[in-house]
Amino acid sequence: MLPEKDEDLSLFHSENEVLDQLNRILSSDLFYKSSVLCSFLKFVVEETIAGRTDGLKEYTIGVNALGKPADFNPQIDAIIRIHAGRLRRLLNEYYSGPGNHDSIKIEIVKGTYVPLFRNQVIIKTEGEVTEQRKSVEFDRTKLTLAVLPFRNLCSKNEFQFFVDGLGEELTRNFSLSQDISVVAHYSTRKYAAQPEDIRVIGAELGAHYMITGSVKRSAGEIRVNVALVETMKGIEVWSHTYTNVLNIDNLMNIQDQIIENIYSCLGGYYGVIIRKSTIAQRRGFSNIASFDASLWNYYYHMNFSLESYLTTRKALEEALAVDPNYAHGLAMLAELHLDAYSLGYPTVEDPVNESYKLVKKAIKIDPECQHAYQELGWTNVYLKRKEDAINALEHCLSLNPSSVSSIGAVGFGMACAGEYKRAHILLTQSIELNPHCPWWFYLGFFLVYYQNKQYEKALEFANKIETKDVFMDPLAKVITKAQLGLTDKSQDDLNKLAEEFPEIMADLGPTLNTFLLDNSLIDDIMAGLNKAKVTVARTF
Amino acid sequence: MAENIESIVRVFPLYEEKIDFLFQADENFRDLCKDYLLCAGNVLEMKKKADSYSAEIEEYEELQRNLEQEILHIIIKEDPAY
Repeated sequence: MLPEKDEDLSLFHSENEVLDQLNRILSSDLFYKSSVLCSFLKFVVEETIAGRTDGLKEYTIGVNALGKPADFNPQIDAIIRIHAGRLRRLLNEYYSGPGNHDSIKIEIVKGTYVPLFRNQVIIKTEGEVTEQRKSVEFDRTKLTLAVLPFRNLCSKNEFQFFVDGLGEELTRNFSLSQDISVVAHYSTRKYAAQPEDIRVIGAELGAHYMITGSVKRSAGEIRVNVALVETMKGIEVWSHTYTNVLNIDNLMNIQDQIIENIYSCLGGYYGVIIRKSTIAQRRGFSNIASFDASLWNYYYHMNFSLESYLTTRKALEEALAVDPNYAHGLAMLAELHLDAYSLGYPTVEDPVNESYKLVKKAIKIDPECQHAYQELGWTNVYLKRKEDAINALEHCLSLNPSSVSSIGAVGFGMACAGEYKRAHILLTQSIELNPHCPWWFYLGFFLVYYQNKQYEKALEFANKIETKDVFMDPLAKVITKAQLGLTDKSQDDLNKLAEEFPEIMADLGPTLNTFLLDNSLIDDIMAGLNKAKVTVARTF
Repeated sequence: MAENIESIVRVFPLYEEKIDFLFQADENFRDLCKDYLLCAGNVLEMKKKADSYSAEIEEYEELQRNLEQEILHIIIKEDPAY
């Protein structure tokens, strides 16, 4: 038996199975016409089967597989590296087409010539039922979570209603989330009586993550342990212990607080689940086709840059080409168009109206789509319809009031719409529930404090905005320092504005006017620039 | 990176915008272009040094043609209205 090269999967294939798969690939039309790549693949697979992976270097491949002379020097001749790239791409093409239904996937990942042998999801054809064989790979169109029944470690199983309620209520809360699918709690209940390896349960339920937990009590306290487990590797990625004074009459409140806290930490697009997923996916997959469009979007929102914007846009457009009724995707694309418009990134011809069309379509497809209402609010900010903007943003919140990311995003929208008190309440609430927020939440706070002439607080938040390719970062620092008489300490940011954003600075008034509804705030920003001795056009 | 884009655009002048987009958005495409430029550079270098046409040059030239086809294939399969 051959050990699976990816130790995480811990699965095994026989030599014959791998050799059969190799022959299947080599006899395909794609490979048949390239004897070089066939020799390359055959050599690395056979050497791996024979256990000689240490010798899989460019020199040995060149000499033994591609007929290079004994004096072949890979340091000055890159031909093996170039062929390796071709081989990786051809294997990808094979598995996207003719090899789609093969049970074993042979991969050569970047940085090594040792192939990996993985299981593939099998989809039966000709009317047969679709099934997954050893489902170690999931449909990644949406992150999926399962909440396992909590274990009751109290004596005589007391407080069972409380223990059961935790699993049920957590499932209900996550089911309101657009970002994560949640397996029905009923489907997970059988595991309460049949303990099983978490990786097996994950595979059976098709869940990427699982929440597990237990409840125990002492004389005066009730303690709830909660953990988040990544099911592919079976490792715990987050855990927390909630200890409360035991008060029988107050158990429901305790339960509600615990659930709210867990959801705040784990849910939303900067919660632990999505943060961990975006990191893992980026590390493991260089091909954007294998990276969920929505995860790219979350990554983009935490790390604004031109490159992540372009990648996200491409991924979303590809996802929408496959499923034009993907409401959440339509809303995310609308958001991208608006961001690009404000940030000076390349975008569509009429981004505001294009976004408006997209959100309208998203709402028509899914009237419960929270993200679509968030973007409807934003689009109305851009269209200068303040009342409509506020209504849409409030409706967005009402669709899932527990969503910390939405609370913050709506707070930021309110700041841009000039509703500073409401903005401050929402941003504060969001950041208290989960401090791992995107940089633009800090920009929301900055706007609130700057317009209120609380420049020290404004500078505190301006200093927390750390992002690249966004002119508001250096601008916020420059104007606040100028208001505080600290212009001599803003030379780096002044240089950044002049060197990286000359076009935006030449057109700053109209640019700010695209997303700030309060003209007096724009005047204050211009006044800050005047104090910093930066001359820009105010007209818009 | 800008130099690489320009070099690829010189080979496919009709697709400048798509190349620019793919270069920024698709790591695989970037790798493919780097391999192509490396290969094309090697062909030129070998031709300068060699007295006569060798099998090695021929091998590299064939590889260059294959990579060129791969690049074109990716550009063309892109949605023209991206």
